[in-house]
Amino acid sequence: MAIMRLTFQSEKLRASTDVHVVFPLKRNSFGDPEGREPQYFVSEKKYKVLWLIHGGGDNYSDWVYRTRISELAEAGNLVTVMPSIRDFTDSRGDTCYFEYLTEELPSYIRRILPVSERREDNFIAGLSMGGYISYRAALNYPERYACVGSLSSPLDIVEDYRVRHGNSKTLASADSLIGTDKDIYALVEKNLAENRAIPRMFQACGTEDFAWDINEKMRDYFYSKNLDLTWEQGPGIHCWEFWSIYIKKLIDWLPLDRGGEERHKFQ
Amino acid sequence: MARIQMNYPGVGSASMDICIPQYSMAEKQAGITEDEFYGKKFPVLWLLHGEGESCGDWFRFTLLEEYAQQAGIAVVCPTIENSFGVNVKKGDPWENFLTGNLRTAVYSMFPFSEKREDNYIAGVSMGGYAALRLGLRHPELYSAAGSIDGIVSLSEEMLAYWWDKKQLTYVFGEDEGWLSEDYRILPESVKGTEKPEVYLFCRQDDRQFEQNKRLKEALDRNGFVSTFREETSKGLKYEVRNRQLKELILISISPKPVVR
Repeated sequence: MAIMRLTFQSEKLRASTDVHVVFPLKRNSFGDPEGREPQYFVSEKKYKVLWLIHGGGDNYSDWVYRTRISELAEAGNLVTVMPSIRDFTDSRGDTCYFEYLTEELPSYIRRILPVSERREDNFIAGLSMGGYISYRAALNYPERYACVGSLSSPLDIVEDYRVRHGNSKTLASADSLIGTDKDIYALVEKNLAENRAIPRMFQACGTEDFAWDINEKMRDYFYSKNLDLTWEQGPGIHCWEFWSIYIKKLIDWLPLDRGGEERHKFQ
Repeated sequence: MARIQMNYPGVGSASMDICIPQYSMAEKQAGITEDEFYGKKFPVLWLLHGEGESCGDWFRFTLLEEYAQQAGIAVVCPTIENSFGVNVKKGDPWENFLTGNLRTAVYSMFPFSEKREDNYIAGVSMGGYAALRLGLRHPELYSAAGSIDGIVSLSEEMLAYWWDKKQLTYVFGEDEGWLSEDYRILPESVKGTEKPEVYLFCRQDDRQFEQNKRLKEALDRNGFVSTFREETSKGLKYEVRNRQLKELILISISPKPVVR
């Protein structure tokens, strides 16, 4: 695979910003040592893409540095785009991270890389706050994403902000989020009322994670609405060890073109 | 402008730095829409580093990105190690890679034009040698070849400033392999009418200044469109290189009007 650190100017962020992109450029490893024969599997088609978000306080680098996402993406012929997101609930007044994530970034990536625009080829997921903003994106724009996933995410953002950030000077107040485009419960209700096709969902949480109760409740809510939810749980706290294992489960769940090539066999 | 630093499966896992012009306020104010800006595939300059350098150095030491954005071209800087861009006798097949699989990889990922008229190759010192040699040996691939303070004549004496016999043997082979016909920059070897334009930039105090001048004469005798620009050594080392690069990109390669 090609692992790219992309640095470009963002209008929404009013800054130069970094993105990690994994592109499944596959080399025939036992190719011609003289280097004359074509050594890459290339195609004309546009690639499926996973927009993958880190957690609160992380940045574009963390997924690549701390997990085997690059290999998993390569095996799945999946372009993976990992931006830096510093604001998940529009608490800052100076930037528009949500617009960056849902409008500017995908639009720009498609200008420079052969990434598909089709709903069935677009997936968004993340860990912790990254999973929350993934759900926020997928439920605000259900026509753009076929699948959404979260690992250890405080999907009930109102409850999470109330409990963990009640005294925050920088984050929006919990109450101010109720019923808005940031409220996952409200978004589900709205989509159902408007009869919109809701993306397939993946939700995972470790049993010792502080976000466990929120996840249990949200899971039960999703089930009660007959949404297409795949739930995964296991021992684990809120940590990269857990995410590096569960990202594989998430990717295995995505509808990918795995081709006829030999798959890597992980433990 | 956008910059991409990447590791990719090249000759072994390898590094490459790329810049691509980015649509911005300047273009908007000039009346160009975003669709128009990205509507055509970008021309691409394959820009090679010098001996002892690597893919990031053009970005570190010059205003490459500014010039590329102004000219509306993408630039690809692969790391080519100390290979002179040849199929290294005791090493990797860099010539085959640079003219073959590297292009395949890059075109498959980025919106860059594969047309000859949109492809240029250039480099500094050893990279200049590589660009000239590849440009002349593969005239169907590049419409222009540029050299900044390029090595144009291989001999142990000329190269002793940096290269020792072991390195030269590694690259070019035993028994003074660097003297082989295969490694000479010979304009007369380009048969047919399709010849790249050649741009030679050379500091007056460069070791191979006279050799560069003679190469220009050979280009003239063999019907090439070419320019030869002498450069004074006024300024620091990379200031001079930057001046030469600016002219290569904004004047030699891109005669079309700039946006700003």
